[in-house]
Amino acid sequence: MIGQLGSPLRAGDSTAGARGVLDDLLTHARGADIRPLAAWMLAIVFYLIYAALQPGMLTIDSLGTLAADGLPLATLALGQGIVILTAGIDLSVGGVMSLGTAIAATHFHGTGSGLAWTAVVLLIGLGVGAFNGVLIGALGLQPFIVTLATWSIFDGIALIVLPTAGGHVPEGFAGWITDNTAGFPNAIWALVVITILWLWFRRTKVARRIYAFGSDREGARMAGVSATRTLLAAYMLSGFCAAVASLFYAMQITGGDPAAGDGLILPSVAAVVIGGTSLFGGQGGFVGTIAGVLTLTTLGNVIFAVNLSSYWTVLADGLLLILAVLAGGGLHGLQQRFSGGRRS
Amino acid sequence: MSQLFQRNRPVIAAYLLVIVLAIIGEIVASGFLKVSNIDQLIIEAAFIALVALGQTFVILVGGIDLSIPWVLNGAAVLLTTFAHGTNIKMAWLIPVLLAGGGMVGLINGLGVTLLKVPPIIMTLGMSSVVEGALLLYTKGGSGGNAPSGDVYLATHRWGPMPVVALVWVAVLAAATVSLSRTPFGRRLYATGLSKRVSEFAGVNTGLVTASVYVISGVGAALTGIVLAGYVGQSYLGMGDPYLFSSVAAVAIGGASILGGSGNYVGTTAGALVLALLAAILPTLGLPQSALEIVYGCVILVAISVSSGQIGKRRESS
Amino acid sequence: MNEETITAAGADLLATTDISKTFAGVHALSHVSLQVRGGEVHALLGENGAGKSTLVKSVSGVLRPDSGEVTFKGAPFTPSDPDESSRRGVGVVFQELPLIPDLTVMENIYFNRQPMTPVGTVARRRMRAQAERLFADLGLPGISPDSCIRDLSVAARQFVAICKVLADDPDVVILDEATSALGPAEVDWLLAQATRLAGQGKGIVFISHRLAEVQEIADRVTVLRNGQLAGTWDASEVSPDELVSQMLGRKLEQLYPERAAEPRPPVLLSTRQLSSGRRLREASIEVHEGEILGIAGLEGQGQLELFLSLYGMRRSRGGITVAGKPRRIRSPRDALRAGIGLALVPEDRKGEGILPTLSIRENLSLPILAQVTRFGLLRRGVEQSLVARVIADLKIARGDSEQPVSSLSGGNQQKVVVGKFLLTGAKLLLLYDLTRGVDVGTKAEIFRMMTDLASQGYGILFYSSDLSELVNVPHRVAVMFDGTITDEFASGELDQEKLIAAMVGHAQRPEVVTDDRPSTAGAGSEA
Repeated sequence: MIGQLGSPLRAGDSTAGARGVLDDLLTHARGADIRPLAAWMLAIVFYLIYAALQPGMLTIDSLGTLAADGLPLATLALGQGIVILTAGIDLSVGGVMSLGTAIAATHFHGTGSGLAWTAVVLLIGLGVGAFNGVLIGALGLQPFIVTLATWSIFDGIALIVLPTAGGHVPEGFAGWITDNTAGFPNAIWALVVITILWLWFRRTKVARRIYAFGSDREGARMAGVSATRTLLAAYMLSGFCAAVASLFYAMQITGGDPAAGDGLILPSVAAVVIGGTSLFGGQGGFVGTIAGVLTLTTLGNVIFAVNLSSYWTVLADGLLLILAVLAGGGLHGLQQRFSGGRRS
Repeated sequence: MSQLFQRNRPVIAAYLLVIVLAIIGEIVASGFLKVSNIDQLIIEAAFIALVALGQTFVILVGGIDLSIPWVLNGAAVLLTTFAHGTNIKMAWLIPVLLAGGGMVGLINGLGVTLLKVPPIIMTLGMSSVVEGALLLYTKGGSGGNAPSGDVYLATHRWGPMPVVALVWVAVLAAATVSLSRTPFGRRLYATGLSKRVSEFAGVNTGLVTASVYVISGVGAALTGIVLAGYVGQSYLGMGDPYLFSSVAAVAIGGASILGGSGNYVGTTAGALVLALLAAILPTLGLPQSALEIVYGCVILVAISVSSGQIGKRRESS
Repeated sequence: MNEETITAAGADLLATTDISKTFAGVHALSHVSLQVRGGEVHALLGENGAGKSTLVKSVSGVLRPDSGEVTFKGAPFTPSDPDESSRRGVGVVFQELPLIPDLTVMENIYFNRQPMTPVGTVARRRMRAQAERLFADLGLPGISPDSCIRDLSVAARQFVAICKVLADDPDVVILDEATSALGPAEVDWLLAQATRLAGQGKGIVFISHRLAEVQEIADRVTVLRNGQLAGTWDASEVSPDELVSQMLGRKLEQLYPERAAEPRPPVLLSTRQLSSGRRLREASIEVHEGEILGIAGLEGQGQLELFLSLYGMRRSRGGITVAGKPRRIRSPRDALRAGIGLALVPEDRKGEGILPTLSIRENLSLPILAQVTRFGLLRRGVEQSLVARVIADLKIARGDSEQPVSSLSGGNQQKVVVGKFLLTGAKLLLLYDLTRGVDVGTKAEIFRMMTDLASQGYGILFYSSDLSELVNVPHRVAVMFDGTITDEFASGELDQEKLIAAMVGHAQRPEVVTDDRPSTAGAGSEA
């Protein structure tokens, strides 16, 4: 009698035998969600096109420049991705970015003050995240509106600290992002470290709760996952990443900008989505997001290399975003059907 | 009757805030409520409210429209560029521009309904596409001067009221009637509450959803045209502030960002609140930065207030 | 893991004393005292809203009771969530199956006790081995620990939920409607497990609407009514009829109404080789005016796809004819125009066909807005009078149509779901699993509504997972297997055993099954 259970348990498969290995590959390791894979393929294709157009692009140095270009966005997108995993969104990263660069440009005078104020910036990131987390987690308010409001608040504070773009950052600081250490560009080191941290983080309990919460709120609650603590963690991580990103950005523009964040919020969401993370939560990760960042960053360079006006980049970014989401959705749907998935 | 009151608590709260702010303004800077000032306020609020009309409809259905600023900008720039400051072409130019806005909205709507792209992504992508197209067309230059007819329209008055305000009132009436007394409005709320249940009841949720994006696009284009007349010219970036204000007005007006609850009467109050704040703070000697901070705080308070009521809404969807 | 404590046979393991819980002025539980002994299967019965789920949630930490005490093995028991409750010895399998869709089977089962590496990350290989051992112990070789929950059928998910609870080896296991999604063979397995665990000295609380199941395994029965304890009896001392009267507080004259008069000849609906996707393959049925045609089938045999195709929610090939006219049905609007209405209770019970915050009137009039519009505006008066007619016809309890639908009882809400279509001129009603998880009193109302409608000439296509309903309510029953109709029975010649045999019998065909052990056909779990 138990043997009959074989049939109902295997989702709808009356042709069980044939698929074997492929079946294993597609259903067993859950991390084999095809979207990040597709995102990487896209990113690599773009990069190769770029390399073809601009000879000498495959050197460590030019990879370093590319990395330096994309580092702020990548760091920002790391935090944004974590929040999106909870089916939320964090617009306040714009405010944290602006405030971070503003503080760097006005208070970084030397190593001592630099380190001290760096700590302040990081704490601010955590604080903003905590504030968001409490409102969204404990009061149950909607992430879009809450972070829209906190974005505005902290953009305002940034304006007080630094009324117009400019300011001054120490050269040692600004130069770090383009410097080398032990033969490799710092920016690449930074990306490697960030990626390793993510791979570790992904397997921790906190991450498990974040994925669970994003996947099914109620189910997670029944399993003892506290909504408040999980959202608090997610938004604080996002705030922290935004703070780090602001410092990288300050290095990039060798100064500060009270509107620094405004132009990077939506690209951070774009990078996460292009990388295959679902806006509905529970699926995706930073590995795909890096591909998204790479694609966006390279796209701009490619357009420059073919001598098209940089305005084309803006247009192309928009098209890329929509097409990438469509393609990702389509591929994911195919994968589901192929692996005998049950979603009707 | 009491149920009417219950359902509309956030809207009433928003209007109370309007009154409170008006009083504060008068206290802080006597003469604040003189006619010429109120005039100015109403016009500022009108522009926000016109843009927020589309945003209200879209949010009611559970979506969002991030492409409003650039559709607005596009219509304004194209108007001034093609009209060359004369009135002749306005007759056909304006309908074409409105249709253009509608087209963008239609693309958004189709993307969201047929292709199932999440609204944030679809409208964000289209925003960039429109922006890029506009930048390429203008090559970054400014758009030129608005035709005098437009200027006339935007700044003229009919009796005591600025024309812009009259347009706003008309829009307010039309929107409110359509939301509360027409089948379309009923279907809109149903779709916002639960697409699935509405589909089962025979509502064409795809059509409803796509229409609101079209309305939003047309509204943005219209606002761009009038704004160009009011300012006298067009320039790149004139739409930027309106993304934040359109969403803020809707939120302060008590609508739920998830859809299914709220109305344009509330959004109107939201627009007035924003305009009042923008007028009051400078009189206190506070800079732009303070305004942004206050905006953020007001939004947080408004959604906290309306969330007490909204909390139980989303049970089965 | 709890140590094996030797409990004296019959000692109280879990006890609630004088528990009360109030929600928004409603007394969900009033002074309920209940004891679960080691070694017994204790059934808990009651209508929807009687308080069973509230009681379970109060015990397991989802809710905090307002007053009273819960004790486990004599000591106060106040877990903060079901997970902790399970770890401490009281495991609950909830009706809603709270599993995390995007995590794997093993990640769900061991969610809060995942083996960790020194670095603070999860040790997957160890976890997998643990899971495989657990499945082997329970005799369930078919589930892969790495399958994503999202990919599993509802029955499989129910298994995973049960395994999750059993993994903690709790002393008390509470099964809340754990059999609702299972087919006959799986139900047998579960009932056998419950009995085995009781034999090991554990206490089992078994909540179900299927009295036959209760009869089979329960040692004692407790009935809740309106949040209060109606009584606790030895199962052998009380008959199903008595239990039902206890649940309702009155005698239920008849659960199943007299069948409507024989259906008239005109064929209302006929399909010819209707197919859709992989699951529906050439189904041909006929429904006559005034007829209730029942559809029976194991889960996933195409019945859902049949209903959805008839209503235009799925693309399909093949012919559909309504009232003699061939129809192309590509959307619910097409279906409504053709005279078909669909009331469907989805598997996950979400979106149950109503918009809770809107009024009864707004819900009922949603499909017919065009009818109540003139010059583009809705005419409230016309709307109200049309709606009032439906409310009267279906006896929807509350007179006031302006109240939000959420204020209605479950049964009345179901009536609103169906009532929507009466104004559309629909002549054929598709009712899919309307009685799932619904209590006896409400079921009776629903069946009465169905027979009334049938006698007025409506045709009804009725799917239920409850076999006794299928035997007693429809005029005919068609059995579906693998996407087609494989058998048809007239009501006179049908009983539950025949029905199960027909439903399950086709699974024995060698080309389909993956294991060729003979089934225990017949001897259904529903006596």
